[in-house]
Amino acid sequence: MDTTQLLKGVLDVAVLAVIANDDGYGYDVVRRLRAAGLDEVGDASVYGTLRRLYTAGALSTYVVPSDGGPNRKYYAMTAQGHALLAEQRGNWHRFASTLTRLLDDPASPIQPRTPSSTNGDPL
Amino acid sequence: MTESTAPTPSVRSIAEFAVAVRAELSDLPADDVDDLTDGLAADLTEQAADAAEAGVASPELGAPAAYAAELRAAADLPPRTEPAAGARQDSFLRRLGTRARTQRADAARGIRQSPAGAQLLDFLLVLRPVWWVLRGWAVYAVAEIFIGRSVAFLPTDPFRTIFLLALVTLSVQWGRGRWLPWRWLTGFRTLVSVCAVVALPLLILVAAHQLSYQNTYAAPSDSYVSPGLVQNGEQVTNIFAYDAAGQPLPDVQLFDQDGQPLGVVDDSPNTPYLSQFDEAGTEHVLVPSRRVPGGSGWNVYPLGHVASEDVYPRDALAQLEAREATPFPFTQVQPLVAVSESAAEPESGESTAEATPSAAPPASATEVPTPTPTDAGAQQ
Repeated sequence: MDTTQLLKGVLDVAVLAVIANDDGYGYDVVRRLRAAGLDEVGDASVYGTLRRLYTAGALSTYVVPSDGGPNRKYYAMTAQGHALLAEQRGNWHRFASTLTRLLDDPASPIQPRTPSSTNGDPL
Repeated sequence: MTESTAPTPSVRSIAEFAVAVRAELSDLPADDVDDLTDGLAADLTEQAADAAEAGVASPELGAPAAYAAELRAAADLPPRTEPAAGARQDSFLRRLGTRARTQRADAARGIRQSPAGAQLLDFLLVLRPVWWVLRGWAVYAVAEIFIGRSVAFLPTDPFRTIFLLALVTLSVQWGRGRWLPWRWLTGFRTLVSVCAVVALPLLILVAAHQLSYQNTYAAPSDSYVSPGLVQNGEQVTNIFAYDAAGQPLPDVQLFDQDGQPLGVVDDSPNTPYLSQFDEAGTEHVLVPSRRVPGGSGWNVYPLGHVASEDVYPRDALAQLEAREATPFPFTQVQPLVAVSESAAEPESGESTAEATPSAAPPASATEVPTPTPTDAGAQQ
């Protein structure tokens, strides 16, 4: 399966997650994502995502001068960003568990019918 | 991508790639392009360095168009409206804009090569809001000239104050890339900026001049130079001389400390008459002495007097025979008292024998007018 297609849907939450506790600049974020195992993440996608999250108010930026090198624009989470991350994290967990159940036991796709189930939310 | 066998991209090719990506985004507002590509070259360079460290080939840079498309898609920006190759058919203005942006990016990168240059650039970037405010003010000042028909650089009433504040706010928002709902506004902003840059030096110069004028205005004697003779702010239109005995002296020639004729008008040869109104509203017309040729006898006192209603056109006044001696305010004033060994004593009383100025006041008076040429020459 083409994981780049999968990545597209979750790049937002992935980017938010790696910035949540530690501000970072563009390539820094790319590096963290790749280090976390998302090898195929495209840097342009990350830069675009950063810009979009910034425009949406989830991130703020500041410029850090560096000796000898170019200045770096760092991204930091806003309160809105943290809220967005929390919400998307919840969405992901529900979605992932639903899909995991579906894939692991395709014979019983109508699991929600069983009352004991964890009420798997389709999303 | 890491399996690519492309050679490590040089710094130069990375820079070229970044410029190409910028060009691919050139249909977007400049601020969007800046946001997306400001750190691009640095990021790519770092990525290449990382790859080199890890001992793998650098990821291929690929086609700038594809890279730009990925940036756009991820940033939720619209795809390019026309193919980049069609840029050749773009309007002259747009091509100019694209080239200017590319050159600006190149220049910024060049300056940032050196730490000092980078610091200078950062310093100037911090000052950018000052430029935004100045741009708003420049538009206000120009509008004041063209619409308000006045040269006032600070608002004088609440309406103007609001107008100025609105313009400055708009300019600042534009500077931040906000309040630009239509794309043509970006071009318009550039136009306004160029005009402001052109107008600002002039406006600042005039404003500074106006400000210094207003400051000196507090001291009226300095600021307003009224023509002719002035005493305590009032124009002096005639002078009546009395000799030591207190008798009126006709035809007294006066000169100032520079040897210049002391006239009540500042351009004596070209001033045929001086009109004044007394408290009753009656017009009095004063004319220069005919005994100085060329109508420049404005320093011979008392000045002649013509009943105004007599003559039209007024230009003929100077040649008029019908002038009359201006009546002295006092028929005589108190004689001077002798201080010690009597320099110019009462016998000057005889010299009041009207008219003949050559036989005029004795003693020192004859010496005074003559030094005129040398003194005046030395002063100029």
